[in-house]
Amino acid sequence: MRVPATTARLALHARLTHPAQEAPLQPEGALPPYMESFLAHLRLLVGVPFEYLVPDDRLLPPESIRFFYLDRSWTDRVVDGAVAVGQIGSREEAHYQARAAVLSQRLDQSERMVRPLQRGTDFVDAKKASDADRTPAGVVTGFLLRSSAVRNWPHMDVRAYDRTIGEPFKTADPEIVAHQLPLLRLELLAPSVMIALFQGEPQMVLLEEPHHGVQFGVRHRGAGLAVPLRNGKGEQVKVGDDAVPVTVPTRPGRTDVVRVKALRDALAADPRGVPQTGSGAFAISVLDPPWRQHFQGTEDHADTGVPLDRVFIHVADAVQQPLVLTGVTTVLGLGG
Amino acid sequence: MADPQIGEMVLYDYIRPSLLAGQYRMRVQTDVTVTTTATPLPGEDFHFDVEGPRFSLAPSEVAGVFPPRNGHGPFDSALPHVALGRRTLPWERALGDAYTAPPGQTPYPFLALVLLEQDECEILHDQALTDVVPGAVFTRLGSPAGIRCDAVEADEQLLRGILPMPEELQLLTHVRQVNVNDRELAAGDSDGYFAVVMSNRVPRAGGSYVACLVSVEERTDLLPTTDPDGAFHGGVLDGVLVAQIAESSELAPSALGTSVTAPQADAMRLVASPATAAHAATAAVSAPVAATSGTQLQVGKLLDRQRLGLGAVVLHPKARLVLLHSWTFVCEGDGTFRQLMQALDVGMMGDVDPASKLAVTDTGHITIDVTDRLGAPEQSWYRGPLVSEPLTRDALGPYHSADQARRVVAETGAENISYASAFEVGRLLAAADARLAQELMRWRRGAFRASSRQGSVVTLKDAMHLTAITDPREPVALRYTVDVLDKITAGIVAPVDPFGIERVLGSPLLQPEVIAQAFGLESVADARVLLGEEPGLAAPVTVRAQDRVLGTVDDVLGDEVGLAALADVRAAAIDAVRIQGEGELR
Repeated sequence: MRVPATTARLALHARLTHPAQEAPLQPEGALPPYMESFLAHLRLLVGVPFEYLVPDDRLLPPESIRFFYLDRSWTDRVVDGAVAVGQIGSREEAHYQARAAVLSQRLDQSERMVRPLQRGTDFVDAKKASDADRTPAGVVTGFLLRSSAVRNWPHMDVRAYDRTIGEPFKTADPEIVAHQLPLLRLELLAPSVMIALFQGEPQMVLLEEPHHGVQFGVRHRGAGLAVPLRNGKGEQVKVGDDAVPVTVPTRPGRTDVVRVKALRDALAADPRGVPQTGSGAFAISVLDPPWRQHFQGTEDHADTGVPLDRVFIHVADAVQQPLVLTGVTTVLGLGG
Repeated sequence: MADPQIGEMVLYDYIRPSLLAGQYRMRVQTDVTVTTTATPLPGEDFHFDVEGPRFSLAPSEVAGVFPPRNGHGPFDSALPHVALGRRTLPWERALGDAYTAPPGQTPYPFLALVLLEQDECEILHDQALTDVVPGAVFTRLGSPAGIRCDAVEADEQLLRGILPMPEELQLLTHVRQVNVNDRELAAGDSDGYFAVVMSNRVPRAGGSYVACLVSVEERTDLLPTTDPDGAFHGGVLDGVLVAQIAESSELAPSALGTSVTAPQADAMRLVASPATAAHAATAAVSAPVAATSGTQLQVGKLLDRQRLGLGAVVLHPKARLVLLHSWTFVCEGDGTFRQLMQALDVGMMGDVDPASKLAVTDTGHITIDVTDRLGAPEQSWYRGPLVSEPLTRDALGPYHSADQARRVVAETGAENISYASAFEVGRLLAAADARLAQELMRWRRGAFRASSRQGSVVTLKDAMHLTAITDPREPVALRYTVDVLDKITAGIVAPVDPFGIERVLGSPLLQPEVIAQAFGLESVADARVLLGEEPGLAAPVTVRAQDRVLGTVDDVLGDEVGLAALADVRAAAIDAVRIQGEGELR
């Protein structure tokens, strides 16, 4: 269900502040807001039935992630089709023929306002922001994720970067943010299927366990439970590459009930951990920071000059050679 | 402390409210000493209450819970917690008189998050407080009258085994300050502080649970006070009351030989067992109880053994706790987020498992069965908008019908309907939206109207030799009118005396000199007076309302306009005489 692009309040405001109060004076090029929003949504495949995106479910098996480029021609055709509604004669066709290029350019910009709109931003504000972004339409990429993780971890964080960044890094670091690709769409198509669209070509995609998970977690270790030792910033204390596990004491006869005080004492016994001064320090010790999954490192050999094992005949180069050129012109009877 | 940045949070051990909830008396006194004689002024007492959630909690106070409400997932390595939007809430009431912390030390919270399996407990709604807490606790709570609340009922022994100790409560409750711009946990109007209450029980895989936020205010009767350290002294059987299933009369203390009182007996859950076995067991039970004389551990052990053989039943007294908030979740499903993510089948769109026998071309097309418009079944190529490599954008558009976008693949002779179906799905989606259709019409109509205006303007410009109009959106008619009027009036000289006043004034009868000469007046001034020149033509004209026949004196008096005119005339005559007289006097 789409949120209407304009509300009665907006319409009234537009009507009252219109200098001439007269429809004919409206510039002809302006798209009706709802139409612009609708077509921009279509550009990002909002509302397009899933069967059209994935025509066979074997293309997206359970527990899989598929990355893709968005075929701009396909989305252009969707928009063509949408505008074809009520296109009953040559007059309408001529009208669209004349305006398609402008409309397409406009939508290249306004597709960036879809996500703000979906997140409840006011149409006017969203449009202002998308209009201010003058960068031409580039490649749109994305992924489809079908996994029970989508259902069980709602609101997971999805970020894409235009270069590979090694862990650990801070997502709020301006240096890092500069490399983050704008997110055009992030939505669930089904309870366990997620689609994401990015503006640009990512080198690294992150899926991060949602932060409300800032959960208190224990690890199953053998038959018992353990927590890794953490310092005051919540980072694991490591010896080499290994975390230092602290066994979680449980009540006798009840292996699922933690002896909190005893655990605190066990944590306090290790000077490498956060000093156990109270419940805050204890909470840090049992916090389970979100898992961050990287997708990166798949080498893309397009345009890198890596020799392929197929041989190409460079037709255009060959034609430029004088001998060949003469031959061709003779054959084609162009020599005169 | 600076607010946390995005992605950060700050933890506090506790935030103590300035005043605990309760009833307060404020006494105002002023000590006055007049020359060493104390003369205190009369004081005054004020009473006020500090109120806060006590026996119920508005759902809006709960900012977030984990595991998610009604969630299904592998939560078996997570300690459940609840986040409360009011940062001081857990410390707003004292746990009990024995548990008051002096300023500067961690106070004891009165909230606990108890994790119970679905079949271990029962949620009761709208109970009288007296039915929920024992009498002693009710008294310690201050005997509040008429309170009804929700409650959770569970085996008392179980609760004793699960509930945290007061010292553990301190550790399980803290305050978290998050960045309000952070999505999670941050409601729009929040200050970024949340009080978080953790549970001390880890869900087991496969269980379905109810997480209960309970008030343990004054419930020191249930909270364990010693940390069970592993030495077995009683364990689950400690304090268990035993009884034999039989008639209710047999629940009398004497029959059981234990310390079961009548109200406690009422609270016991009775499990039916074959009556014959029960009667047979009664004697067997009674004897050992008497023999061990109150050593409940032995009784319990003995009876637990006997239960299997004889049908004797260990009775579990129930305990109830005031329930403030609860939610359920099921701990099922496999794998953590990390495991799921690492096990994902990663690939580009179009990568398929060879075992699935789906034929995908290297361009990402697959064949689909369609019925063509002649009704013949055939196979066509189709590829969705999600492709495995960057494609150039089709520059042949725009297309006006789906047929324009149909293509035939040379190699196979089969049709490629990808773009044609894109066109159709766009058309269908748009046609399903009435508002879009309207806006499309408006968009076109606007263009048509603008186009026709432009045509008219161009024609007009050519025909009328208009030069000023450059923007077709300008109001043409106005421009045109102004332009036409300019042209019409160009070259016409304005008339000298447009209203004929000069001509009228030029007539002989209005020339004072002529009048004076003709009538032999002494001076031109006399003639001016006679002509009444002074107000002259510039004076306002008083128009009589209507012509009426003034037959009587009353009529005349009623004619105000006429009288006013007469008064004017008289005043003018007097003025004339005065001017004359003054002239003579001079």
